[in-house]
Amino acid sequence: MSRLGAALVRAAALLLVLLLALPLAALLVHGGPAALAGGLASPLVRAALAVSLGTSLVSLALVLLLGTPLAWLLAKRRAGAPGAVETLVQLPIVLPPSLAGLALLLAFGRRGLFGALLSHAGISLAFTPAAVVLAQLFVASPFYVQVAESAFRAVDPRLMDLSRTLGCSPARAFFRVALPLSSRALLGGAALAWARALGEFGATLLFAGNLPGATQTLPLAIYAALESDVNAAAALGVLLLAIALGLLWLARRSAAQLFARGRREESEAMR
Amino acid sequence: MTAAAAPLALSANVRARVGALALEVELALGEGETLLVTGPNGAGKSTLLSLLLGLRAPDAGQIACGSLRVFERQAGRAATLELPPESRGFGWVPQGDSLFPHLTALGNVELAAAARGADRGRARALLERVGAGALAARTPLQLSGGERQRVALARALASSPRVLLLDEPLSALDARARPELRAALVQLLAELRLPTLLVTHDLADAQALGGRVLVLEEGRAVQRGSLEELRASPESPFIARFVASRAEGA
Repeated sequence: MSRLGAALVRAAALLLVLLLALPLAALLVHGGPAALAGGLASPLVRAALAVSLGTSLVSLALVLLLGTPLAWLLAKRRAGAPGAVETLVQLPIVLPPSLAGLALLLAFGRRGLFGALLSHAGISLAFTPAAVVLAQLFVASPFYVQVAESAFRAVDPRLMDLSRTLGCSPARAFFRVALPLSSRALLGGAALAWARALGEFGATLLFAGNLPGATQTLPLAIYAALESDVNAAAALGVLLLAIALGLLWLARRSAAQLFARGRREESEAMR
Repeated sequence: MTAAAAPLALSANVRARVGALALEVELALGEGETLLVTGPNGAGKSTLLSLLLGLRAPDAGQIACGSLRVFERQAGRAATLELPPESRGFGWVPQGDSLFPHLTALGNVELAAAARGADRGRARALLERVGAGALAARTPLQLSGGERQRVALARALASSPRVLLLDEPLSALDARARPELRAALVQLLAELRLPTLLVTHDLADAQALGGRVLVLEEGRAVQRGSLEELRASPESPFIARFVASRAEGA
């Protein structure tokens, strides 16, 4: 009986592994080197790649620039029940992206809550790369802020105090002590956020549209290409898969470091 | 009588309530003087240091470092003067390991030197001065307890302090390493002539460093004087035990 149980456990595990592996294998079969070369030669694919890289890099820069101060402020709060800001920051992680797109549209769309205000200022976001960036920022920044907050929390406050007594201003203490001590984790958080931004589909489609050369990112191009050429879509998919694998490697490396630091502190506390 | 007229390197009179502890201490430190602060666990020794350093604000009192006024607050009012830690000029060596783990020994000292606008050569010279010149490239994990304390001392000196605050600098060391570093510390303090406040619970430190002793109990100074005076008439059971204790690792 127990042998049967063990076999069932293995079978269940294998089934899930196959379900995860087979689609990716099929992608590689369709989007082989020839398809990839053909896809990269197509102006539409190249345009989508450019839009994806351009918008996701701008998003990433904004995530780092705005997310780091937010994570620092959240980390300095006393630990306790998550407040309104924490909930707000975590919500996009569990929100369906299409809902995020709808919300963005209702807020900043032409007929949105702040649309009139924006158009008075001569700003029209709809169907522009800026809308793509906004959609990516909305769905991706929480991933970075979460990781950055826990990394900052792990910085020994005594080291921060110490750096102040040694003559560092709060800003200098942050850049010389807190930031370098958290750098690997921040890199991992950035990788996660970038991956999420690159893969963004639903919010972009609703809020920014699917305009080749302007708002059509790689995921949207896959969707568009599927109607005409499966192999081209697969080629795009392989491209995204390669980028995703690289980002996963980055995120893992930094997670391993965070974990190792936690263990070291534990063993020191036990001494 | 001229000694009484000499300007004080540190004068403080602070009151603070921290948890169950009600701290109320007055202390004065002359130029070149070493003051030992001792007392049972929880007496408020480390809290006193954090008040002086500006890591915690007293409820009332004043602190001055030579001619530099650092903190002033009347009871029940907001502080009228409160310099941030980086403007106070205390060189702090905290209890236990305190080196920045992402920096080498030299990097630790350089961080302090750079924050005060000193050049890197000074960091190296200070590392040599505490006998850790050969350890410059090592990371904290590659250093022994005694070596780490030497680097922490060099780092505190690199911040060009007016007053040194050493919180149990020898307590994390094993019995073999302690006398060696104690001897080095005694010699260094004698050479530097920096006013120093040293927290310890080890009689051997008091014997080796000489100077006055201030005994804190439950947040208050219960006795002040030389070790001989404490020995002659201990004013509390703790002090009687302290002066009669076998010095650890002496």
